[in-house]
Amino acid sequence: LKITTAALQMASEPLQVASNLERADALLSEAHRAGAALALLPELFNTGYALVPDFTPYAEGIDGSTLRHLSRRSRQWRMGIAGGFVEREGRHLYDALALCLPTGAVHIYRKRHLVFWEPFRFRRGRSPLVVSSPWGRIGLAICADMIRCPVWNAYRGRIDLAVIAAAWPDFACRDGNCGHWLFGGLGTLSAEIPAKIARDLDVPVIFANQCGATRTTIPLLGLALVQAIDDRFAGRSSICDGRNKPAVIAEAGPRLLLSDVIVPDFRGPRSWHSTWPSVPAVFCSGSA
Amino acid sequence: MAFYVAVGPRGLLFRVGLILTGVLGTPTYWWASRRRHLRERAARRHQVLSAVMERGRAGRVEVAAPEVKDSRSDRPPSRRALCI
Repeated sequence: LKITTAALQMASEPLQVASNLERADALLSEAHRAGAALALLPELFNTGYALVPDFTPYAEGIDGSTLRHLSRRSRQWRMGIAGGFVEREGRHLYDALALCLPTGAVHIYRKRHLVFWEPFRFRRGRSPLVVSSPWGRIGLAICADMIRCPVWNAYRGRIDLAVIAAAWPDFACRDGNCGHWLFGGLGTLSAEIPAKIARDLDVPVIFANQCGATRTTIPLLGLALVQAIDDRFAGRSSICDGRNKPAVIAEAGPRLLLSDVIVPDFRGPRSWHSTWPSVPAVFCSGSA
Repeated sequence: MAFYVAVGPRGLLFRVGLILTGVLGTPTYWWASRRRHLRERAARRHQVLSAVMERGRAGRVEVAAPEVKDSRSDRPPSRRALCI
């Protein structure tokens, strides 16, 4: 099965949900006009990826404004849309990735490997998530999840397509190209890891990263240190088509990355529900 | 836990950082989520008490459902989250 996929690389303003959503919508509209069947937004694209005192007012359930909007667009444009947001369930907040399908179903994956400041604000997700879709079985991951072996070992042979939403930093100076003396090499991994996953698992991988300056802080150390670090997001969103062709990698700055991918061994949707393994999936039929 | 790509000596530092942020972050998160829970419960209680005060002790209390961000738990059963 050959489908057109889109990775939406964008810079999000911290806590400016409405304007971020508007920006994402413009890119989604462009992707729709280009004939994309599946579009992916970065991690926390609506709230921005930054350590803020409290995410509670911006956290959403499945009926939140962000998911309602994405789900509406998904049904309107007959396009699968995935995007990162802060999910709230009960008293807990999660760094989550929602996949909205044209049927109105919304599946939510929660980030399992929290890094930097994230453990201070979010609860860790417990399980992987495989979603059966019209384009095959989709495995979901968020940013630092992709650097862990067990994540991909669990998905191996069980997915036809992987989507990774990220806010991967460059560990480099914002204005120049000088990398950090120790972590400078990690920024480039944002392009290398999805390509490696595509080769290893022999499935297409869609990777959407944030771009622009980071405005995060290190907990307990405050803002002064962060201004000294002066980092930016790595960008380099990519679409890797398994072994079929080389990865398409985005340049710096906000942009829409489009590429056709071939989903191997497509056997059609077995079910509209999440399949393997026991996952905290949310199936919501026509709720938005 | 193994890394999917080789990160060299940075991997060790990364692991140490992860342990540190995990050790410091987890209690901070739990404390914040507990406070959030208590704050919201207090707000709900205050709402109920205000209604009681307005209607008098003997009156029937009809309080509008509090505004809770998460709407999963109060959705009707047919639309409730299905965990598989």
